[in-house]
Amino acid sequence: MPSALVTAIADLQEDEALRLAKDRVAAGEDPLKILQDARSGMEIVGQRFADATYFLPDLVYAGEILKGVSELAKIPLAKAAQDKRLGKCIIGTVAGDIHDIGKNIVVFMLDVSGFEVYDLGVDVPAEKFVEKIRETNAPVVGLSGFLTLAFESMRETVQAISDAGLRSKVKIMVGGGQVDETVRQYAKADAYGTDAMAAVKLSKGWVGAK
Amino acid sequence: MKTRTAYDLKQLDQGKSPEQLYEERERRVRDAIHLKEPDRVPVLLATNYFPVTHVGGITNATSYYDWAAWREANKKTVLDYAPDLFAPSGGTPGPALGVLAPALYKWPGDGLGPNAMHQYIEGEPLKAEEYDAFLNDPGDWTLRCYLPRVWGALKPLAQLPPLQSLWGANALANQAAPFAAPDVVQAFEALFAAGRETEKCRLANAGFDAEMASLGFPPLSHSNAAAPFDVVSDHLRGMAGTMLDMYRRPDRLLQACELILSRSVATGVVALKSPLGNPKRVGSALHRGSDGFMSLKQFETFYWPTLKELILAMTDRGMVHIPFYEGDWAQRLGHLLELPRGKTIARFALTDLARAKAVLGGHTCIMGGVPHALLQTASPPEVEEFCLNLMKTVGKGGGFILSTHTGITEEAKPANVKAMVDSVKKYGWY
Repeated sequence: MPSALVTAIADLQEDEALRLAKDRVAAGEDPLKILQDARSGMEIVGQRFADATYFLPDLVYAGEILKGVSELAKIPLAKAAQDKRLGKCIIGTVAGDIHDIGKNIVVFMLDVSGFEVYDLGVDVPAEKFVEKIRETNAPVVGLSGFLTLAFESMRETVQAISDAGLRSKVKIMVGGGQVDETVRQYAKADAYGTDAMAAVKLSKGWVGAK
Repeated sequence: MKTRTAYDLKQLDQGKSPEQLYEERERRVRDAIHLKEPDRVPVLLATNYFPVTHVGGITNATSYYDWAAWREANKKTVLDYAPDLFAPSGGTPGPALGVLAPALYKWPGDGLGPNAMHQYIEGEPLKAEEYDAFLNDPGDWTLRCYLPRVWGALKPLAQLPPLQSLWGANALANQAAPFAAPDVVQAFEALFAAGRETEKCRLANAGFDAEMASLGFPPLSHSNAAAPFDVVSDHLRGMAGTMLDMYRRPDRLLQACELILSRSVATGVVALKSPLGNPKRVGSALHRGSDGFMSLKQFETFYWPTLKELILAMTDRGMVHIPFYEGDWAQRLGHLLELPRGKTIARFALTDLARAKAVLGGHTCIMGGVPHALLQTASPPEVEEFCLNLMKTVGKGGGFILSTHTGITEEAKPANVKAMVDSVKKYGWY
């Protein structure tokens, strides 16, 4: 039986969620537990997004509710799920492209879904991805790009990862803007996705999580 | 659909005057809009920075700094490919941008390399708690809040007195002191300097459509009218801000859309003054109402009502509206049937056109079909085959104009662009 907070967040009831969180903080409950419930609520939001019950505005709103709860609990969001990380992902917008809205939503959904996400930001040179793979041993890399020039950067980034001898160690997904199967083939990536939950699904598949 | 040989292709336009070709192209497009079979499928050449690649020797920054060269490049591109409609990306006053220092825009040649693409930075110039100030007096809010936030050089304008405080026979004299503040003076000087630069750019761009028309080529549209919701999301509240407004202040969001509607209508009706176009055509690039951006219910509540009203305001005046349904509109296709039959062109990006044809066939002319990635990565025969398939399916019975998903950028291969445009001339005859 999910707690009332889980349900309130899953149903996007902001006032109710904040009231419940406040009451639980006031009652002296472990803030970590409150945030874990909030995360469980977010996971339901993610599922509803994946099955097209929810859309981007709902996801953004849920993120704001979650932020409110984490502020009340006075605990950073990332701390709440450190104990159950599914795996590591490296995400960034490729060289020459500074768009980050889509990338940020992917990072957020991977994070609330339990991944340890290394967000390299925007306009990320290929060698930065290579360095980060070496440093973290992350098995999943996500290349984001909105502009048409990003297709070339994606291809160059995948090539750089291959040249560094790391291609067999990572699965690479591409996404954003006009990215489709043609672009995936061109970039020699493993998969492409059209939204944030596709990224979560692909990543979960690759790290062997359900 | 009938095929012409390569020999015929060369002969196609020979012996015809530019006037004849212009009328031929306008008629071809008009027939498609009216859901008839034209002589053949018309093709739109919508370009972004593609002339850079086609012409060579210039960069993306040329469009910001050397408008004469940019104009020539656009002209050569249209002449060389000879499409039925063209939609170029015009010269932009880079020096004026440089003087005014935009906070939410980067462009090739400043901050970005000369071959980069211009990019928008998401912002939230209208804060959630400022809706009332904006709705009560959008002019005052624009002058004292929007401009100082969006233009680095105009920050000092925040010190100006509220506009309504200038009502009164001697009010301005009493309120004039801020105009003499040294940084406010600087801001106005930046405006003077920017104005001079923008005027040079305007003169260099002036009359391009008329010039191309005199050479036989009609432009896609004669004015633009933005969807009210997009204006709020793109320019005022930002994407996240607008999405939160749907939950936290839906009434304010709708009021802002209503306020913008009449202003969008005003930019659209400018087409009526154009000497070109039969019919006059109004373009709208739609950004944030597609399937992924909001649910159908949110679309019906926040996006569609003012967009529909805008489109009807154009079609009621005898103009053809060309909403560019960017993204995927598969879930919303049924709504397009609420628009008058044969009076709009549904220009699509990622929507599956076979599905669009199934819903809109016999009701609305469809434009689009060619993914930009194909022009970047495929070979000319592959492009040709792809276009042929489109013509056979979406073009069946008329009401179809071939074009790319988006304005063609400098990454497209010229041979592929040629294969796309020529495909209609080879295979697109009814």
